[in-house]
Amino acid sequence: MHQPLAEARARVPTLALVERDADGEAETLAAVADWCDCFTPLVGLDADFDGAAGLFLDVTGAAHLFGGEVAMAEEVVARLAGNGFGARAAIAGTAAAARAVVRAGLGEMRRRVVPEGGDREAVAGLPLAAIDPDGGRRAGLARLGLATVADLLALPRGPLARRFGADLLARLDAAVGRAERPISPRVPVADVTAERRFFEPISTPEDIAAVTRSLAQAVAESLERRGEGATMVELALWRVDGDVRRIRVVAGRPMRDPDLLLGLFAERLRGEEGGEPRRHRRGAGGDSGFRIAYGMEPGYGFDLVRLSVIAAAALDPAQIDLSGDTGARVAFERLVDRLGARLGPRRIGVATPVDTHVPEDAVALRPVGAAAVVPWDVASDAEEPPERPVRLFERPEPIDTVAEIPDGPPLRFRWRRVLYEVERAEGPERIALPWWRAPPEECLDPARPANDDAVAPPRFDPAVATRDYFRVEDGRGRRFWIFRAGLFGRETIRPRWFLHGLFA
Amino acid sequence: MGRASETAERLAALKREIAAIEGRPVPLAWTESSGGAAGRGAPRAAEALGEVLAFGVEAIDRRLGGGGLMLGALHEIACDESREAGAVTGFAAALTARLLARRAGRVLWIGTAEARREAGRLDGPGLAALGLDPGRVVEVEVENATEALWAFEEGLACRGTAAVVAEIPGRPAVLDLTATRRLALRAGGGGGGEGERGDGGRALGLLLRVAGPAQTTAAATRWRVSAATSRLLGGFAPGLGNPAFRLELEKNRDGRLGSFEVEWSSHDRCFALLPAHPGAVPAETSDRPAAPAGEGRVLAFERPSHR
Repeated sequence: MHQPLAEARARVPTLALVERDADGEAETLAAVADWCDCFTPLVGLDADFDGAAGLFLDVTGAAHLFGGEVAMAEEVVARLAGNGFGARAAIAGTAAAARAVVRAGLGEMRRRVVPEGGDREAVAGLPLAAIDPDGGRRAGLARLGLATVADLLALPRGPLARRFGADLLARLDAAVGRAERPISPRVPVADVTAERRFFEPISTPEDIAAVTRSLAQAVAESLERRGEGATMVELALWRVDGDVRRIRVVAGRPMRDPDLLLGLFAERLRGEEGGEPRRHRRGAGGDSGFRIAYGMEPGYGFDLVRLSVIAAAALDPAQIDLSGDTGARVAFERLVDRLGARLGPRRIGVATPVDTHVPEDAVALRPVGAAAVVPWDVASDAEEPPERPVRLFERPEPIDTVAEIPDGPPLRFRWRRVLYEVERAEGPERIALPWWRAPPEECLDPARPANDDAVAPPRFDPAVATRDYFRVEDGRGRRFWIFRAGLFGRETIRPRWFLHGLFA
Repeated sequence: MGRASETAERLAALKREIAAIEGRPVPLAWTESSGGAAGRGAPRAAEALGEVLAFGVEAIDRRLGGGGLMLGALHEIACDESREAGAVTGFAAALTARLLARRAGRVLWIGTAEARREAGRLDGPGLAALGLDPGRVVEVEVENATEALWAFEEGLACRGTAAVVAEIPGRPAVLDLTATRRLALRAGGGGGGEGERGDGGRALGLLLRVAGPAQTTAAATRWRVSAATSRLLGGFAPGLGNPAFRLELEKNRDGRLGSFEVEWSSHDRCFALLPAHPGAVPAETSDRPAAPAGEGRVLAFERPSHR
């Protein structure tokens, strides 16, 4: 079957060559896997057999929704064919058995359902290629006259494992149902889901809004029974042409009010549109639901809508109380959720101190709910003016300086093309940077000459040089935080200066 | 206490009630009519009602209707150049710290990408050093002015916020009179927001405009802020003193204008007027007011209005 390229070209001179697009294949497979979510929430990728990718669908408890296993297999194949994919499907007791059947046991059939308990018989007659992707090993087995699964099953296990590896036995066991290899789902399986299928695809914003709302209601009810609230919710819509749209929102505090849920989705979609701020109308939830539907690009319509709770947490009944202080706190948390839904949750946070001396790393932005673990030391010293600037540059900005003595504060400096006379200065505050921040080659080769100047001292990296910080004030009262990178004489003879922050 | 003072008190109470209905701050003069001692207490009374945020500096508070920055209103803090961003941020942080010392709630601090690029990001240790607990400040990083305005509005409408600060540098087109009027309305609890704000304490809205032009906005006050030479502490030359600001009250809907030099004490969270000749190093004469900030005087500072 395998033919060298040169030979093929010799036979067909006009042969057109297209390089295999592995990334594209993986992407397509992922998209198909996404779409297959409409059959069962547990979909896994089969990447074992290189070049012939497949999908695992765990249909346990789902087949009856499609009228039995046979009907389901038929529908999967038929609907994939409708989207332009030739697919073959098998249903068996274990994932590995089904895979073996698909790989080798279908013949001309498009689908096959192995009856319950029939895994062993179904797999036994198959060639070894069905269970073992390793061609070299298969050739070795063939030399011994072992061609089918049944041949292997007849042999003693010990010598087989010693000769061909334990992996072969594991595959054999999985295929005949002796051992279970769990499917690892591509997306985590949701705790609570509600979905609705349509014979006739829906596409009008009104319909989508109404469906989403009723799903939210259903989800809210089952959350209520569990005494939980959702912290991460996903709305997925299957378009007729195979596209799956997934919208995920995160809530800082567990919630289950359908209106709030719809509001978050609406915010998220508005953010994607980049819409302008609008007048906030209180309205019933229908208003925000309506907005969801407008961001959807329904095309020919959706035939399945699913709302799943990806993450949930216990919802304390006391938190539902909307009176007084709690009410204000809840209102604020909802505000954060709304902002996060539209702007992205990572762009909202509370600064928390980090245990480091490096000023630009001394703060981490943590999510609002999780923060306030480490308290700040807020202006505890009555005598001391601020020692840290109120604004800090992410990257210190280089400045030109004139200094009186090499290790003193500068007399004047130029920042952003403007000259500042230093009237007063305080410092230095020495901050040594962790040496491990240096790029490895800088450490290994300190004697490498600088690029611009042959007589320059060993090149030093300002990113790891010791810093001497000064607080300086110019004649008009502007206060800056500047530092000299590099210890004079020890690390460099030409220290560089940077401006790192602005004081109030 | 004679009958006259009782009448005056009742009159003042009625006037306050009317002002409350109209949604305006209570001019200090009305409360002062009830006599010297009570007059002194009056601004604190207004502050206790959660209507204003007093500076604690009489010269400033006297000029503001109600004896302080009105809560539930929009205030603009501007400067001419981005190198003054430290002063603007510090002043806003100081006001916010004063507010948070007096009431519950958190601060929403919104900054655009341009603000972070031009003047650096907000630094937690720096805020803490100014007396503002960074743990109560929720930072929101937005891309552009449009997003900032949206977040600003949402924040003002929410009753869990004590203050909302938005840094929108430059002069984006979306930041016009209409937009600021909306913000002002929202801050005042109008517009039917979903915040159920009601009487439960209104938020202070601060719009920080670094390198922002003087353009018509619906803000209640506009402060043009620049750094002022800090006062020496304990005579130790040549160290730096407490943060000092030169404030120019450029616009004031309910009172007179003025210009002040104040310093901020982080530990006590209070402002104090700087003495007329601070420290040993006077500022350049070209840049200083010739006389100490006087009654209602407006000093013309250079401003790049030709831009």
